[in-house]
Amino acid sequence: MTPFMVTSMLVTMKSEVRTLRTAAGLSQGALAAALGVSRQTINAIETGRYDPSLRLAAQLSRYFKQSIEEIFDVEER
Amino acid sequence: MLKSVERLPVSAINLVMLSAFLLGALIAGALGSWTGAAYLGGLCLVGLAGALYARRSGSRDVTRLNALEWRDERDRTLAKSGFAVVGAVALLMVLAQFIVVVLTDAGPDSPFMWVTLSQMLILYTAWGIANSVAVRRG
Repeated sequence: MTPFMVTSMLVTMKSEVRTLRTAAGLSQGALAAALGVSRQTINAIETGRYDPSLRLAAQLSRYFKQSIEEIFDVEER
Repeated sequence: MLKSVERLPVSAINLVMLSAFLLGALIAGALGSWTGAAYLGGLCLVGLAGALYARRSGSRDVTRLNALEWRDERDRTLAKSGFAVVGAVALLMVLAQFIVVVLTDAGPDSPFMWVTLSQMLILYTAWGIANSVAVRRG
């Protein structure tokens, strides 16, 4: 890339948290309590309004026994 | 966060603020200013009630933010955004206040001049320190 080249890239993150949570028969509140966060945080992650920190992503990964890449997918548009 | 802080009935920042109100009420009472004691004691009680209300399990996120009762990383991230706006507004307001002080020819004898200068110095120094700390941690 030349120094004058400007790249514009929109990145969105999709998560499988809702799918995994409902498959486990958990409410948002129950998952939030298990992870020590608020119900609104789980809702915000599921609806894509909040990207969790690496620490919380790792917690989710351990909880659902899935890799972070399986739960979260970064899409470049 | 420390376990001892997590076990507190209210957040650490609320504990400091409520203690300051309570101490102020006690000092006002000791000095015989019952109106002042009632105001500060009332503020302490209202603050405590607000913090406990925000702390309950089903509270809304905006309630927790307004009551300084952050529960998790998202609350802290949102609080940082809110405080950033407050900080930017404060910096602009103190600058506007300083311009007014200069335009009204408030001299060195005016307490308004010294209050404005002190506020500006403290705010801009705090901003500089906060930037340095953020860069070092970032």
